[in-house]
Amino acid sequence: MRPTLAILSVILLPAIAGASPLIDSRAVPAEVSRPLAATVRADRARRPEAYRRVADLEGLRPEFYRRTRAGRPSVALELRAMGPSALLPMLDALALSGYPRDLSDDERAALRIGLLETVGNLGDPRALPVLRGVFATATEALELRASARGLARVCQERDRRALMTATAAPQRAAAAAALGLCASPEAASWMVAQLESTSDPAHAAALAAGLAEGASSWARPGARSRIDAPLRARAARAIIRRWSELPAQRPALGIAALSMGGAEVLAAVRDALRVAPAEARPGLIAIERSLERSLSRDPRR
Amino acid sequence: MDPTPRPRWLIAALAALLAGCAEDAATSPAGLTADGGAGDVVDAPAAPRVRLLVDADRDGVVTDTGDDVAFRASWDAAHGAVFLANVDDDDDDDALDGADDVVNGEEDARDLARVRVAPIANLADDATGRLTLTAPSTPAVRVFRVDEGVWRRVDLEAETLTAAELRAGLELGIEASDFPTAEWAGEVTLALSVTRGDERVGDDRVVLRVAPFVVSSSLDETDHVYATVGAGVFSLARFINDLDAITAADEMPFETIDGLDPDWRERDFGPDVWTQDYMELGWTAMPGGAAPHGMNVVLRTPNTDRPIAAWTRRDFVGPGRGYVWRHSRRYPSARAHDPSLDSFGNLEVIPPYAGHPFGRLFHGNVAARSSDPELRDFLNAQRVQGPVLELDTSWLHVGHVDEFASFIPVDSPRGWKMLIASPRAARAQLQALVAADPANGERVMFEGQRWFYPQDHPMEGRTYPAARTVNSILADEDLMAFNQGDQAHIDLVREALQTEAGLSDDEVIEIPFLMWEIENGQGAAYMPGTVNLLLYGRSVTMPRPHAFAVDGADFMETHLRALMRAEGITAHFAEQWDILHANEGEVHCGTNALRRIPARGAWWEVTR
Repeated sequence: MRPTLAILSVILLPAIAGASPLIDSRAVPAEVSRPLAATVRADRARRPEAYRRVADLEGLRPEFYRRTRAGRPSVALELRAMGPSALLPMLDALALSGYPRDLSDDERAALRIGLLETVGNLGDPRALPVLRGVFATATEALELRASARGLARVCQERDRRALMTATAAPQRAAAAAALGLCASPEAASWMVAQLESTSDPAHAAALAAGLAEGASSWARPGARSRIDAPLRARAARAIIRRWSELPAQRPALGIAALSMGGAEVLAAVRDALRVAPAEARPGLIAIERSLERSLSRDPRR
Repeated sequence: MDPTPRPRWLIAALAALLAGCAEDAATSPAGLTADGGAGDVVDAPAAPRVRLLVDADRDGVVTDTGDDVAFRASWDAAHGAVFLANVDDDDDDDALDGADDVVNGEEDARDLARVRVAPIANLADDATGRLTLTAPSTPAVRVFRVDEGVWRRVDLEAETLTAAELRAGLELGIEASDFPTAEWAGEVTLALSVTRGDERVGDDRVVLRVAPFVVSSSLDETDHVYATVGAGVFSLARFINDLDAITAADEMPFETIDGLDPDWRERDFGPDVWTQDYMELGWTAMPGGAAPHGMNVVLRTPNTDRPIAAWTRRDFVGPGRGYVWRHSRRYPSARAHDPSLDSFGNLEVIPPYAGHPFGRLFHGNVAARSSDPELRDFLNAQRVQGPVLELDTSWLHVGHVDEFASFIPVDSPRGWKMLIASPRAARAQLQALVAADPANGERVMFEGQRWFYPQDHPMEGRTYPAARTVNSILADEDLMAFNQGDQAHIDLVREALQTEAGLSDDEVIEIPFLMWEIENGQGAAYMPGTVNLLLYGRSVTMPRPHAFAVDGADFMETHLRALMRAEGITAHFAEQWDILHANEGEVHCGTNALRRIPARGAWWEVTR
């Protein structure tokens, strides 16, 4: 195919195929779509190959994905491997052009979530208008998760506020679990305070998961931690206290405790064990044992 | 010790009398009287004695004495007759033997549990006998009789036994067409009633229980190994060639399944290489004398949209090789149902331990992400390896328990240890290498390997290099946080498995590899998942790790070899990155193994 023809086909293909944006049009109002379309048009003319790649994903081909072990469409890894240069083509597919061939419901869902996740993971402010629109309008948990994480990664003031003040249950859960990605002391303090005081068990579990990811002792050990030592200790105590208080959330809170790890969590568990009722002791001892295993292998503990 | 031990039937009879249920032959030794005969007919010494006999003492022989008599109508861990679900195809006619009304040759006759009608003396010429069976309509339970070496089905509705036949005695055989179900624990009662006109001459009954389907433990003796091949798929051929060489060196028979056979080949699709996933191999058995008598059985995946699974019915089934398939009548389409969980890499057996002499099944299943309920019901109905221990695998993209746990035999009182995936150990190992020599931080992992679409793959497409330095891996905050999260999940399931089997920490070996996120917070092995291995005897085949060389050898291979050697196990490594690892599976996923029925396969001694 001649280059001009190839460029034209990439430009025209979505329209020919009748493709539609992958996300709800309410998520992309005109003030978002218009400037994005202009940017994409210019970019596509410069780099048609990048668009061609995003418009032709192997992970959406049944002949490929049905032979993976999970056996279902999946594109996140493939998109991730394309790197930052795929950002605008991905935003284009999500918000403007859609995908240039018919997709099954599962394929379309996999593409939408995969694009949202990958766009968010790039931490590029150019994605924020679309991510904000999705977070404000989506109802599906995975879309909310992906958009909240994308917003938290960039962590602009207005997005941090939006995540912290989300009230509807699915938004609130996604926001709480994502906020740990915000490199912001304010967000961390807010999460700890919320975890200490919330009366909603599911919210507590989501906050703990978010804190654990943000305070992961493997990701950012010691002085590299985004959360200072006193706040880490407070977060650890809060997770373990809620673990004791909320039996139905113990699996999730236990995972959070171990996902955060480190000496602070171990100290909190040992403190809790001193006063724990008999029914709580086996669970706490199991967490203690796991933490000890990890710490004994960690040269930087 | 009691210097004059009494017969067990006498003790049981006394116990039954004390319990006030001496008349209930189903719960106490059958119709016992002072002379050991059937209660209805012994008052008059010369009266005919009606008696059905089974192998109640489980020695493989039906006799007219001792426990075979005393316990013929009861069933517990110590006594009671067993019969088989006759699901093999001894005459190789492509029909399961238990699905028809005939006995398909001598070998098939061996699969019938024997019931004898003891010869009845002093029986009037006009007496007749009638057999009745208390059994479910589904599965079918059939009774056969043999006359001068020829077997035929007994029509229980219509057929009567003549006085001559009753005087001579009869040999019967019984089979089921299937295994226990959630509704039927597998017990049947066969009764014989002898009458003379309206006069009741005597009757008797026996109780039998159908043998369950037992999933083979990976520690059971291996007969041979399976893997799926596909002509022209070179990345698969590399794996198969390695397996071929390893099994040949170990003198382990290796059989391949043609993944591109026209009966299941899908147009434009390559072979379904997940040999572990489309079938689970096990066995069923009844007492057989020196060793249990039974058959190997393949359980087909419940996933109805898995064409290659047809191999299990077409090619596995044969003499001594049975078949069972359970799935919901309408394969679940609920959002929480994930067909991936119906793959049998997601069904494994904790090897035998106290209280579970045939081990215990474990399976990934939670409400939010579940397997076919019909499968779980079936497995629980088999009882001896249950109830199925359900674990949360929703944090894994594929969601299979074989992604994080396996077992090896060791010389210890328990006889085995558990291997568990360990991102913790992998991270520590990489850190230690860098600490030992900072130059190691710039060494490249996965040199020359690619993600997604390997060359020579039938779906060959774009590839992305996998090579990455140790420093960049350790400094990847997202990757490390994700691994800490997955380690938390692994620790939780490890705790559940350790607690269940009573394993000490010394009986768990951490197998180092890092995970990574595939999508939606769900992960899979990033470094080849070496816990996902093929075991037979004292040999394991692991995925080639593709770490970097230290002193001329892949440091991870060196480490794993040493870990296994310390337990008396030889570790082999097979090349499978392109065909399995890059598609979220490893060696275990790509193989299967037919194991022999354990010599101590007395599942009937399990009291559950």
